[in-house]
Amino acid sequence: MNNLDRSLTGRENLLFHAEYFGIRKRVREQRAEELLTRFQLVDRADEKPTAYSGGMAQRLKVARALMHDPAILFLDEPTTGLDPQARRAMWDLLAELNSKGQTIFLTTHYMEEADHLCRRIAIMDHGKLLEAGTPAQLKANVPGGYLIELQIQNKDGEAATLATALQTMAGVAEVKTQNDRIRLYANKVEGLLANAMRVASEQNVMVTDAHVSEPSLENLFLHLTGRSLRD
Amino acid sequence: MNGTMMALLHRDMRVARRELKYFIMRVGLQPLLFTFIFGYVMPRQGIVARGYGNLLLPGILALSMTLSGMQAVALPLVVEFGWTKEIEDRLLAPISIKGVALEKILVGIIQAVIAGLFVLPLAWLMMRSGLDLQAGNVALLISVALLTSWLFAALGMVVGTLVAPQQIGLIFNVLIGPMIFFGCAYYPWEALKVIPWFQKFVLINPLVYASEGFRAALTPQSPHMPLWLILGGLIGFCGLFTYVGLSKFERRALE
Repeated sequence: MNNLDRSLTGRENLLFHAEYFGIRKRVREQRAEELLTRFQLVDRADEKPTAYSGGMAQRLKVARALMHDPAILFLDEPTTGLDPQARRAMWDLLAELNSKGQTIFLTTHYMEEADHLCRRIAIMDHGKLLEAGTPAQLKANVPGGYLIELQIQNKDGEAATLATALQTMAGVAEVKTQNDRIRLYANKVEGLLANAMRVASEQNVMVTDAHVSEPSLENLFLHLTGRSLRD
Repeated sequence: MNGTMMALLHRDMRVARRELKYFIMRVGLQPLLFTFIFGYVMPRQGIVARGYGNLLLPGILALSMTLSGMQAVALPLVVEFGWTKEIEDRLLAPISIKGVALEKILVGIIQAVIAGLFVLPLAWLMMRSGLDLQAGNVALLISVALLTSWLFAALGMVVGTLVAPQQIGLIFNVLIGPMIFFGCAYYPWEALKVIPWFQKFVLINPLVYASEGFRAALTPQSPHMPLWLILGGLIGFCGLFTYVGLSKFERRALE
């Protein structure tokens, strides 16, 4: 659901928005044409946005925001609900705007989006700032960098015992347990997963699922909040 | 009024102009049918007196302005707040929330006035044989027309901010229906003295003051509500609905 004006055409959405901001007629008409061309909306500019695809509506929203030449462009989850192609197109558009000097403030649930687009990232949870920095700085904050997640059959406190045993493994930086799930933050060491499985089997703990992930902002978020991302 | 408000008004007029034919159907059809049956057919049948047109025309005028002013504000608001949230598009404009709300009321006033200008000659043409309009007091006519338009545009804002999209049909049954029948549009308030409790009861209905206001302005020779009560009622309800409408609008906008 977008908040575009459904009673107006795409072009009129841009023109009236600029008119609200008191931009002169000649200037706003010229700017609207430029933006419609650059955002590939010219062919459908005289249709109402109800007929637009999600990607087109999202592009028109960004174009609308640019009509009054803002010092900072605020975008709230600009790619939510877009298919991978449309998302990629939106990323290219934002990167291009940024390279031309437009400051962009972007909120997103997609860590790879933040990683790909942003120079500075702030991670927030429940309205609190948890961490801020460049993507590289943030990723370096994940202990060990690599994350192994083990799903186990936790009958009587086996998780705690296993966690203690895993802690002693070479390369392991930190072990966190949450019910029947163990998270292992470690440096990249040959055979890390195999070793972890061996330790588990020595402890007679049944591992039902295992997952290895590379250093990422997703891992950092998980590390900071103890939860995966919510939508 | 600043430039942003003018721009918002420009936007609303553009949308209204595009929907002109629907506007004319919405505003014109009912009064046309009413004046035809009650002002043309029935007087010729001898069922209603020939002078009935003098009572009917001001009522029809009040009713048309009332409904178009209300709908012009309420219907878009219900959709913009309820379904599409596109009210955000207007709230992005560099103007206070109250400014956006006042502009909506202004649009309602304009549409109500246009409806009046459209219906008055139409009704006059249909019923002209028996009509005796004595609109000497132009200032009173304009005051009543503007107050009526404002009052019902503001009521439209109250309705538009209170009602969920699913209930909009219900509003026409439970609010508009009784308002029309108890609104003295088809009968004069003066003559209700034969049912004293009813005559007092209908005073809670703002349409009564509009109908009687137009009677006082267009056919002052017939008995009508005293002027102080007409203007008091119109101004009082105007103030009330504007206050309630604006504060509800502000609350919904901040949600």
